[in-house]
Amino acid sequence: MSNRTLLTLGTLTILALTAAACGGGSTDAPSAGESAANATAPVGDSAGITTADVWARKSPMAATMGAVYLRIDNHGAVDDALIGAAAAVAHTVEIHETTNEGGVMSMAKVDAIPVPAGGSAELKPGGYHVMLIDVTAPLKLGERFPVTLQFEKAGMITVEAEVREE
Amino acid sequence: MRIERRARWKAARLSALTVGAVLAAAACASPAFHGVEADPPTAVADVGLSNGTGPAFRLSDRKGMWVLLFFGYTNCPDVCPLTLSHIGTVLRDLGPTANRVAVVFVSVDPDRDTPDRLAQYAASFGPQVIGVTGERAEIDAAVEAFGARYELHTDEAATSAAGYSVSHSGDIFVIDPEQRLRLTIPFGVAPDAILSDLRRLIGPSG
Repeated sequence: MSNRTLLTLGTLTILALTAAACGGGSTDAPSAGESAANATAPVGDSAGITTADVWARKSPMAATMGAVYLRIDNHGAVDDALIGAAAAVAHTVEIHETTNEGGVMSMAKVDAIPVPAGGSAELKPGGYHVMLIDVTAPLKLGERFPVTLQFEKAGMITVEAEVREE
Repeated sequence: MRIERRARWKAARLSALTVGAVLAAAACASPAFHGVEADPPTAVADVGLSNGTGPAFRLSDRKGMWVLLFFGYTNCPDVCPLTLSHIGTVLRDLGPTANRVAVVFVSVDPDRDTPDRLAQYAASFGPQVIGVTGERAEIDAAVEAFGARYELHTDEAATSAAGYSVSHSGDIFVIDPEQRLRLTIPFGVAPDAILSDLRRLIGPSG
């Protein structure tokens, strides 16, 4: 290794340490459940569709709405889409999307979430979610409940959601 | 010759280290806020919300406290609980400093958010969190005071079992004890970033 290389490496190291030392937090989008994403084994599998990290937010008191988040992977060769969902914990379940337009947050029902062949769809805070409407009881931390996902091609897949804080 | 060269390298290495150290100091000296700083701090018009049968709210009653204010509605399953839960995490991590912070969740959906429902909802996120609402004109004035926005999508009521949805600014407004806006934290800023902004603003004695 030449002196020049050593010099460059040394400088880079200092800069890297600086960046690490100054890191006062990240401005990344909320990564709720992200850490657990890799640890959670796929729980649903049909026609090349797998799901991972299925979770719902703990109900605040008096809340009647809830949201389920998950990751969907399509290992198959055909494009698919999530087109509906059902869960006994709520009277109605729909698919909704949150959008951010210049800092104004909106939410609307959508008909489908595309899951392209060889690709994935991520339902996460600030994006898509499975919307639980009129929950039958507050969702309590640590509880698990089944959610049936309906795909355009893969049909019904039932997965288990875990209630988390975030 | 050989010795001379080595000395030159030594000098070069030292100067590189110096440059590195200077860069490091510069980077640490003024870490940017994650939120958008109001520079200079701007006075906020007083906000008054009659809050139906609940206790009326006046922002000026909170003078002397830091206030985090957020607009939303309780039928919001994603943005509102996420943001309030982040605020709850930040308050816990602030330790004793959290005693100088009040959190106000202003519902822009008074037709569905009764004072009782709001009070219960807000308290789920921490003892410092209160939920208030008021007459439409009061809400509009409060939204205006922060340059925020909201819109009821009553046309949607027919398409979703959730009824109408409400678009609203996703910002957390940080108001200082003199009732001046200091920081606007946009939606999606992670709790540790909010914490670092508040620690920097409030400081140990602020």
